[in-house]
Amino acid sequence: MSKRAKQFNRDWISVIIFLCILAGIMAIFSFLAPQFMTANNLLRALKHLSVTSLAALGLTFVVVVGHSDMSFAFVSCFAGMSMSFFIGIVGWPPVPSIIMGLFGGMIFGFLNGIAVGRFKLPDMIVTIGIGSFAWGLAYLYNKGNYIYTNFLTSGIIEFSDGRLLGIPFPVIYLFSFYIVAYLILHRTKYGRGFYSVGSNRIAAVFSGIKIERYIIAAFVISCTLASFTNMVMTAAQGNGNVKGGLVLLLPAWAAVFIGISVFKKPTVIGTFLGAFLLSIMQNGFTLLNAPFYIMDLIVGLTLILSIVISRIEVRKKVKDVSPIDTFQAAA
Amino acid sequence: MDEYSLEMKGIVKQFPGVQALSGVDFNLRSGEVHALLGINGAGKSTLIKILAGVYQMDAGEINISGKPVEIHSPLDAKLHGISTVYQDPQMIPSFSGFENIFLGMETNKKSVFDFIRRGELRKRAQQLLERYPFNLDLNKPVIEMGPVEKESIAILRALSQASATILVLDEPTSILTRSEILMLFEQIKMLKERGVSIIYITHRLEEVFRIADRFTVLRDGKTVGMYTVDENINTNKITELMLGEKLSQVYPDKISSPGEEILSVEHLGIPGKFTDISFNVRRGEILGIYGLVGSGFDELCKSLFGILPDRQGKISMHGKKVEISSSEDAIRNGIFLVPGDRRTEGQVSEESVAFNISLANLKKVSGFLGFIRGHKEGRDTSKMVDTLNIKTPGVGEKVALLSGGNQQKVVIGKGLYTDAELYIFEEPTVGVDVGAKSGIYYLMRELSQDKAVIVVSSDIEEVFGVSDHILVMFKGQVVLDRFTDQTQLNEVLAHGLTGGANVKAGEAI
Repeated sequence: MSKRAKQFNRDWISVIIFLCILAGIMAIFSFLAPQFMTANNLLRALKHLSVTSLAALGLTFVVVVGHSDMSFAFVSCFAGMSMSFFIGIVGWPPVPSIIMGLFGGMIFGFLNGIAVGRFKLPDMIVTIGIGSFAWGLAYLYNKGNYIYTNFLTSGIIEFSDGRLLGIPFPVIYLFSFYIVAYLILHRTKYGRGFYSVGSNRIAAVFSGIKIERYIIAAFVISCTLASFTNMVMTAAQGNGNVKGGLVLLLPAWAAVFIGISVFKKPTVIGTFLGAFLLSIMQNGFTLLNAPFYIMDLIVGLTLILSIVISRIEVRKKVKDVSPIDTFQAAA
Repeated sequence: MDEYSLEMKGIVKQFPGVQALSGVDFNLRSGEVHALLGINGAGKSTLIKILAGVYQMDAGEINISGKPVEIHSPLDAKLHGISTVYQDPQMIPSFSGFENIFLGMETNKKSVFDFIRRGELRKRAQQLLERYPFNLDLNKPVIEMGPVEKESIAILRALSQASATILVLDEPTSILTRSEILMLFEQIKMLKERGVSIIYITHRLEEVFRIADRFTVLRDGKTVGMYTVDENINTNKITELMLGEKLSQVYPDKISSPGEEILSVEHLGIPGKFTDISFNVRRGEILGIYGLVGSGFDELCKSLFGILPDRQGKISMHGKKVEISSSEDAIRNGIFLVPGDRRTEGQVSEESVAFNISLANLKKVSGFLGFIRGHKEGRDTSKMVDTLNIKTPGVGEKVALLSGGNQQKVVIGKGLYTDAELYIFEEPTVGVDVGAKSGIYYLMRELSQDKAVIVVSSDIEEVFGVSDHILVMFKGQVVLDRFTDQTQLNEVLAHGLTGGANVKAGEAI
C-alpha cells in the first residue's frame, strides 16, 4: 500500500468508527424507547442541538487559532440579561434588544481577543476573569432575579417558537450559521489564516498573516455566537435568567473535542458531529426518564475520552518525524 | 598514572545520509585545557555527544586513564567522570545556586517520604565550593545572578559528581562580554590547578591563546591535527587548518555583471543587536552575509523583513524609501525572507503543500469574498512543485511527511509565489542533506537571474561558494566587504571569528 493510501485510510477510519458509534447509540435508544425514531422527536432533538451546537461553533474558531475560551458561557449570560432588560424593563421591541445583547457579547469577545492576541496574556485565566466580570455585570440588571415582564407580548418568543415552511427557527439558525462558518473556515482565505495561526503562529507571522486580527476575530465570534445562543434559550424559556447560559460551557467544549478526536483538528463538521452526538444522548436519556445529572456525567466522560483520543493522535505524529531531521535538530 | 586522562581513537559515527565522524583521534592530558576547533559541521558536537553518552559511536575506542571504557548512556559518562556543560545551561531561575547545583540529585534514596534537607544540601555545596573555590554566593537565586555566575553554577553542577575529572565546556563564552570572559577564564585556571581536565569548544580563536594548552582541529569528521599553543601559532594559521584546501563542486558559477540596484540599506541599526549596516543588492547578484551565531545577522534579516520593526536607518527598494513595519509590509514591497528555523518559522507542518505555498499570497488564489479558487490554487502550486522539483506525491500531501530538503523547497516555493523582487535566505541548508544542498544553491542562482538574492549564513563555505559579494558581520558590525573573487576563504573566516585582528599566542584579547 502506498504512503498516500495509508494516509487516506488513517484519516477516514476514525470518521467511520465515529459514525458506527453514533449509529449504535441511536439503535440502542430506538430499541429502548420506541418514540425515539419519530419525526417529531428528531425535530425536538435538532432544536436542542441548535443550542449547544451554536456555542460550540463559536468556540471552534478559538480552538482553531490555538486558544481556549472559558468566558463565552458567562458572557452569554450577560448578553441574555441585557436583551431581557431592554425588552422587560426598558420596553424595547425584540430586534433592537437582541442587537444590544449581541453587541455586549461582542465587546467582551473583543476584550478577550485584545488581552490574548495583543498583550499575550494566558488565555485560560484571562477568559475566566473576563467571563466572571461579565457574569457579575449580568446580576446588576435585576439583582439577579428573573426578568419576564413583556416577554409574552413583545414577540421575543417567536424567535424560538416560530417556523418557516414548517421548520423551527432554531433549526434554521443552526444550519445557516454552520454553512457560513464552514465556508469561512474551509473555503476562504480567512480560513487559511485562522488555521495557520493555530498550527504554527510564527510561520504565519513570517507569511505576512496578521495574527492579532485573527485571534481577536475568533474570540469575538465565540462570544457573539454564545450570546446569540442565549437569545434563543431566553426566547424558548420566556424569561431572562442570569444562570441560563452556564449550561453551554461543558457541552460546547465536549462537542469541539469530539470533533478533534474524529478529524485530528478542530473543524466545523467535527464540531457539528460532536454536538449531534451529545444532543442525541441528551434526548435519548430524557425519553428514558433518566435523572438530569446523568447528562453531566456523560458529557464529562465524553469530553475526557475525546481528549485522550486526540492526544494519542498527537503522539503518533511526533513519531513520524524522520531520524535525519531529529539529528539535525539536535546538532 | 597514565599520561592521558582521556584518549579517543578512530571514532566513527554515521547518521542516515551523513558521515558525521570518520576516524577521529583525540586525547586529553590531566590538568590541561584542550581546545576543540572546527567550522560548523566539522564534527565537534557529535564527538562531544559521543563522549557524553548522548550518541553511540559506530566504531573506535575510548580510554580513560589508560583503561578502555564503554559509554552507552549519559549515566555511563557520569560514572567515568565525564561532565558536560552545554551552551546556555537550563536552570530554575527562582531556585538558589545550591538548589540548582543538586537539582534532581538531592538524595540517593527513592522513597517519596525522604524530604530534601536544605541544610545538608547547603553543606554539600559548601564542601564543593571549598574544593573548587569559585567566587560565588550560592544562596542567591539564579535569577539574580550574572552570566558568569550562572556558568559557574553549571560547572559546579557538572563537578558535583565525586568522580568528575573531565569537564567539557561547549562554547561557554558565546553570550559573555569581554570582562565576563576574563572572569570565566580565572575560574577555568582555578579548575585546572585542581587537576580537572577540560575540553574547550569555541568559535573565538583568540580565546585559544588565552586559555588553552593544546588544540585539536576537526574538519569533515576527521582530525586535521593536534597542536601545542606556542609562538608559531596565530589565528590565520588556525583558520587555514579549519578550512583545508577544497571547495567542492556543489556551487554554481558566479556572475560578473549585475544589473540595477534593487535593495539599498543605509545605516541600519538596532541598539544592542547591530549598528550602522549599509549595503545594496543588485539584480542578478547574490550577496552573502557571513557571521557567527550571535553576530547580529539573524536580527538583521528579521529587521529587513519587518519582524523586528524598531530600527534606525533607511531601507529603499528600487531607489525609493520604503516603510517596513511588519512582514506584510515587507511582502507587499517585494521582500521575502526564507527563514532559518524552517520548522518553527517557515512551514505549517500539519497542512498541505498547497496550503503552505499559497499562504503568503492568499490574494492570488482567492476571489469574491475571499473564497479560495481551488482549481487555480491546485494548478499554480503543482506548477511550483514541478519548477522546484519538490518530491511529493501531490500538492495535498502534508508538509510534515516530506524530507528536510523538500520542506525547505516548499518554503522557498511560498516565497516564489509572492513574486518578490528580493529573496533573503537565512541559514538555507540547515537540516538539508548534502545532495539536496547543491540543488538549493543552483536554485538561488537561477532565482538571482532576474531577482536579487541575499544569503545569510554561519556556514562559511556556503557563503563563499554561492555569493558574488560578501559582507562579514562580527559583533553587530560589518567588518569585511569584498567581492568574492577579491578575497580568500580564510580572510572571510578570520574576520567572522575575530573581527579581523590576527591574534598571536601570548597576545591579550
